[in-house]
Amino acid sequence: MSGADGFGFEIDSETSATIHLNPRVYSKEAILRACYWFTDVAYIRIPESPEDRLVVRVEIKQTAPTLANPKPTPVREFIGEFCNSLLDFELRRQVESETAPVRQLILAKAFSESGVLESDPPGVVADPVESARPSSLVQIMSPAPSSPK
Amino acid sequence: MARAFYPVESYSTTLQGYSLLPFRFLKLNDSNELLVNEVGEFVISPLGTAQSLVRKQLIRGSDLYSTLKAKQFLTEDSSSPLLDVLATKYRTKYAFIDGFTKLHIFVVTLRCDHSCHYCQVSRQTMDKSKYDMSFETAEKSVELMMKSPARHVTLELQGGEPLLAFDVIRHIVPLAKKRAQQLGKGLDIVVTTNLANATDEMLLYLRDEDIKVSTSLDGPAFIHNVNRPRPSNNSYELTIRNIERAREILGTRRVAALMTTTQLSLQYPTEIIDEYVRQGFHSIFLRPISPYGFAVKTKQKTGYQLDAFLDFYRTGLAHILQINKSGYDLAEVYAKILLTKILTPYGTGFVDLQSPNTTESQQIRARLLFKTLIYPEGMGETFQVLIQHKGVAQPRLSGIDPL
Repeated sequence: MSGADGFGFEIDSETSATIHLNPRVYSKEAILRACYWFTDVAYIRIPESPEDRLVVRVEIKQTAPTLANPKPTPVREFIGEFCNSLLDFELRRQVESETAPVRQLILAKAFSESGVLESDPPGVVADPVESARPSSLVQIMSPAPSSPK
Repeated sequence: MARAFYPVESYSTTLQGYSLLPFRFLKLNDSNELLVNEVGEFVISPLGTAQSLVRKQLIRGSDLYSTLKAKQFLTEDSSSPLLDVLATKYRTKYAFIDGFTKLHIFVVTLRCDHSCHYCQVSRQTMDKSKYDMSFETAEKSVELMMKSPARHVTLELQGGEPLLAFDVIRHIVPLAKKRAQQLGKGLDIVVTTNLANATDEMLLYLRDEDIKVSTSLDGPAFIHNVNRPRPSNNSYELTIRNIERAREILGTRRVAALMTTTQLSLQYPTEIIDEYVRQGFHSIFLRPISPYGFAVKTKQKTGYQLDAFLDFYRTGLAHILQINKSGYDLAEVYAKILLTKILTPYGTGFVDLQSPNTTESQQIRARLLFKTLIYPEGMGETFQVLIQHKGVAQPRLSGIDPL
């Protein structure tokens, strides 16, 4: 059953298991991504679950053995890998959600050819000495607020 | 009076936390992971770095923190100049999409005298001229090509075997040149041919029209003739003879060769490379077969696997480095493409390394098939390397044959 870390499992047979996840710990999105990631080695079903937990049923595929994969993944090993990848997918989701606005801005700036999204460098470029004694021919002036780019 | 500056503290960074910038990560092995940001800057660091970074647990001032800050994985302020720098880097990485479509491939005929099992083009026998491109289609295609906003376009004449439809080529070339001149566009023309049917008259025409030749050489005769069957089983002999003739007429620089890697080729990396050197080429492209067309259908013949290709590639690249060290210039194009992506601010438009413009369901399907080979969520968009047999119902992605 679901433990304190939001994760628990039951091994149903040599090749199948039921994983219980706490959706307050792992987002549904991360869980779905992790499930999808493992569809090459397992059949994965997500039955309708009560609100406080999400159930993932796993059945390891019994594929023909290959040189690199001489035998199917043991179910315990699968659960360990699944658990680790859940953390990774949760992190990825966090990165995406935290950086989505800045990413959109970068892309918009990158492909905006008009320059309207570019801003002036920060700070004031006026020279206070020149401002105080406006006598020389060349003056370093701050651009007027309404000046066109 | 002295000029007033901001006090020095105003240039130090604030002591508050940091914000993340977009990045992706992947476990490389049991001790390291790879972090790549939106513009291709990367860090290989101990496992758990991504987690510490996301959870804001990095120690400010540590080397790792400074590196991640310098490479724009994190920022202490989201000021506009920083975003402008990132936007510029992004624009540079994707500069190859500027100007929209630049390469336009004209399949002037489906006829071919070869029947290579890896060919992506459905081919017909030589005598069916109904499989040539009509002049009308050719004219409309030239107009379409010239609608591209690119200032410089490349016209690639392909087939089938394009030299079998030489009348179509002679129709397209002057037309394309005239339109390019009218529109002020640059124009390169390349013909992709096996050269088996190249006559001196054709080669002289290519020379006079400044058309480059790209031909196929799969290795020494015992590989080339198996890979590229044609009547009389003499593709190699014809190719070598006509490469020499083409060089005499067009000049060495204008004749390039490409190889296709098949299951047979995989056993002979050094023999193939030595053949390229023997024929005087200074560039070789040890490329995995493109996952399209007949290459997919005939997977029994071309169906090699990633591991086998990597072994082939490792041996081949080491041999190429050795050849270079011994004083003969030989570039390996695939390494060049990958290293350009990894080590320079520039990207490449090499199509096999782009995410194909497919429907969502196709993308999902492709990912389902290949996710053990591509990087997770997103990195597959740009690092979809060495993937074979898209569309195969039941791919076996590791190992070669059942035990």
